[in-house]
Amino acid sequence: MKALDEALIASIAAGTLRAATPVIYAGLGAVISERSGVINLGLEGLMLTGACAAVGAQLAFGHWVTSLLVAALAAGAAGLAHAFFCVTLRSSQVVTGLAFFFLCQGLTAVFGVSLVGRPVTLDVPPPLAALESVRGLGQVLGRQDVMVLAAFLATAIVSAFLFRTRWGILLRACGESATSAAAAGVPVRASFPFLRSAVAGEHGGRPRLDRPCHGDLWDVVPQSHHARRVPIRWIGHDAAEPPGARRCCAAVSPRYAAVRGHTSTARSRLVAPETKIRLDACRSREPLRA
Amino acid sequence: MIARAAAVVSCLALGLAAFAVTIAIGGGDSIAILRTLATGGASSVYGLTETVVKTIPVLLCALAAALPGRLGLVNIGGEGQLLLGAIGATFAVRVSPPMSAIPTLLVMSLGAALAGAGWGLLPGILRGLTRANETVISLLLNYVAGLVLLHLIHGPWKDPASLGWPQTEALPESARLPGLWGTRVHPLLWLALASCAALAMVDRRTVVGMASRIIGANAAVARYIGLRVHWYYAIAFGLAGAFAALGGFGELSGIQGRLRDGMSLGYGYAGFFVAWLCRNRFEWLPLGAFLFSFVITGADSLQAFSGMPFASVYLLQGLVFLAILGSTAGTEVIERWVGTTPLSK
Repeated sequence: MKALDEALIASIAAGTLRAATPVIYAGLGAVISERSGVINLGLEGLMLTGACAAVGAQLAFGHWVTSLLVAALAAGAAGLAHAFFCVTLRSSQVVTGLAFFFLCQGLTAVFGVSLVGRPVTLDVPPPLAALESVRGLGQVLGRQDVMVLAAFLATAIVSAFLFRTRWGILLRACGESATSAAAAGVPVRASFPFLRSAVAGEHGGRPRLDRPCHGDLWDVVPQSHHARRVPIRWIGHDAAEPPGARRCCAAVSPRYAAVRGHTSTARSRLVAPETKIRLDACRSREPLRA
Repeated sequence: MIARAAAVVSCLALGLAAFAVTIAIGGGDSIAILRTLATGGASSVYGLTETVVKTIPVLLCALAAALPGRLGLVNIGGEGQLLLGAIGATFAVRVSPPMSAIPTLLVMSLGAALAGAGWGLLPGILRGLTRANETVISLLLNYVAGLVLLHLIHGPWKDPASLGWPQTEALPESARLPGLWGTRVHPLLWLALASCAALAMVDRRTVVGMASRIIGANAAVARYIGLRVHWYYAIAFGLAGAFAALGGFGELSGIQGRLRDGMSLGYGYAGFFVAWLCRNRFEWLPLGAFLFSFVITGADSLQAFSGMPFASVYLLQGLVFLAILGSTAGTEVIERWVGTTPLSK
């Protein structure tokens, strides 16, 4: 009975790690993207692109490494295109992300039609297979393939990159305040977001490969629902400066009295003189802190 | 204005061209597919009424995106709020005693509006109180709503007579919205149009509208002149949820007749795009929603007649929107290079 429990717990833990892997890769991509100041709502689309490319490459070449590379390249290219719109053309990040989501969904539907339902078998090697006989941790880790174990390595690498390297701190500077970073001489638009998007796409593209590793029959569409999970890191992080400060001044000054006339309360009348100073302050486009 | 219209039209052409090329590369007959797309929504009276049928939820979801949009917020949660509306309306039918048509429909719409408003209030209140990112929260709640719906139709609300098909029992006849003029167009069309007109009036002529625009332009300044910004956020999101939910109620009661998976053909996202395209101007939303529904209807007939997957229309939508995004943003960049506008725009 005790041995059975142990085996059960080990298999649940192993399954959890496998299921977490796509989320980890996607989360890493999202963190890099978010840290550099671009919210990437097209992440799911990038993952679909990677999945479709990986299956296509697997059917064409038949080796998991080439499939991995092709997936990373395809999703990285989509990420670069996203960056071109968001960064070079300065289009709205949210709308661009959603547009890419739809675009990739459509692209994979059109080009993936012939792939749906075709069985794909990938034999990604489990590098720690020697440990499998070890009780406890060995049972959990021994059966995992390279992609699952690499997810943890990748997390450490991305973390080290962001917080321990010069490039990392510059990238975070772009995310915290693009204006300040530009003033400090960082090539904000030229290099960093592009790098970020490429990496984000790459990470987004990878996870699709880890599902079929165990000889599962696999078809693209149902599995893509795994991509629905979005990293928690997104929540509560708002790097955007208040938009339209100038427009606001234009809107407020002429009709300021009119607004006051209708909603006059003692409190707001008291606030009014200070407000004028603050209106000047907001011309500098810096976020106001109360 | 003419220049802008020309830009939009040329972008649509560009998007369509890219779509045709992609389809051709993918091995499809792009000319035939474009013809189906173009004629599917207009070739017959049926196609036109189907476009209007789809305009209703798209327009209501566009309102749901545009209302917070006026406050400078982003609501991508129309999809989930719409689903919650359908769920709320179904719940109202299930718990209320059998009544005649009008009270049943009123109770249903109330249930839908309350459920949707609650769903919309979540990101609104979190944004107001904790400055959480309402974009991501509303987006994620879409998936939660979809899962809640799946749970209900696979579990407690599943019709035992449906032979394992995940759906609820058919609504009673009193809970169905009547079609107008013998078509599937239901009376929520008038509600959606009237709401657009009313909100446009509120936006232009009232203090609330003025205050909303100030908040949208700069929330920090709005706070300093004494506006209760977080109340505006919460109310806008609540109203937005209610509008999207009424769209769900219309789909449930006017079209589907029962709660099932696939209640929405991406209406929530479509509404968001429409609102963005119309720059959150309420008076333009009906036109935008109609045009967008035209594409959706075309895609429907594409699926039926050309054997293309429905998702291929997402390709078209994505390409067209990227073309439009690129044109509006690109024009500004070019102007900045040329120097026709001041650098510190």
